[in-house]
Amino acid sequence: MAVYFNKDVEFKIGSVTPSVTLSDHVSSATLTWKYDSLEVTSMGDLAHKYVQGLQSGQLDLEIFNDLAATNVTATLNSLVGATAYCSIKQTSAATSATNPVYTFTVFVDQVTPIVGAIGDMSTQSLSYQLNSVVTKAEA
Amino acid sequence: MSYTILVANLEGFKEGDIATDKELEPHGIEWLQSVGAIQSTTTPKTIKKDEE
Repeated sequence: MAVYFNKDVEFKIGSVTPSVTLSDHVSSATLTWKYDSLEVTSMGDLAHKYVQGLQSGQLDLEIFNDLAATNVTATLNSLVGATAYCSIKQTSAATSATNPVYTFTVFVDQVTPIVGAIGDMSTQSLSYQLNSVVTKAEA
Repeated sequence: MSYTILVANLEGFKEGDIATDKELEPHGIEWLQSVGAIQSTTTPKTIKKDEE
């Protein structure tokens, strides 16, 4: 059994490649990718039948704002309104069959550089639509 | 042209490294400059004041 708990997800983002590591500011990360189910049920079938359609997906992040150079706020502010290149994997260990890296692009349609009430951590809750297919690499 | 890496979270580099434009091109040099990740190592040319 190879179950695990989340403690070391590695997240990278960039303008041309996933070049900036922001993992140490991410408190929650969820990558969802799926396919449209296209119904092809026809006469004589006894159940619905489907085939694979277009892929889509979403990246959800909870990420702490940080105003330092190349950190969360500056990096995301520079990418808003554009496509960004992302990669994410379960742990920061070397990419392998048991620690694959998922790469994709997202359309950065929102940022929240200022957020929260007095006493709160300034945390961006972001949800981005994937702008490409997801590539899974094991090496 | 070469650049000093100013941050610790840039893929493949350490803070203080010197990198060439060829090495940085895949990451997007203009973007890296815009987010403060790199700084050109080119020193400003000193113009001597003409002697009177």
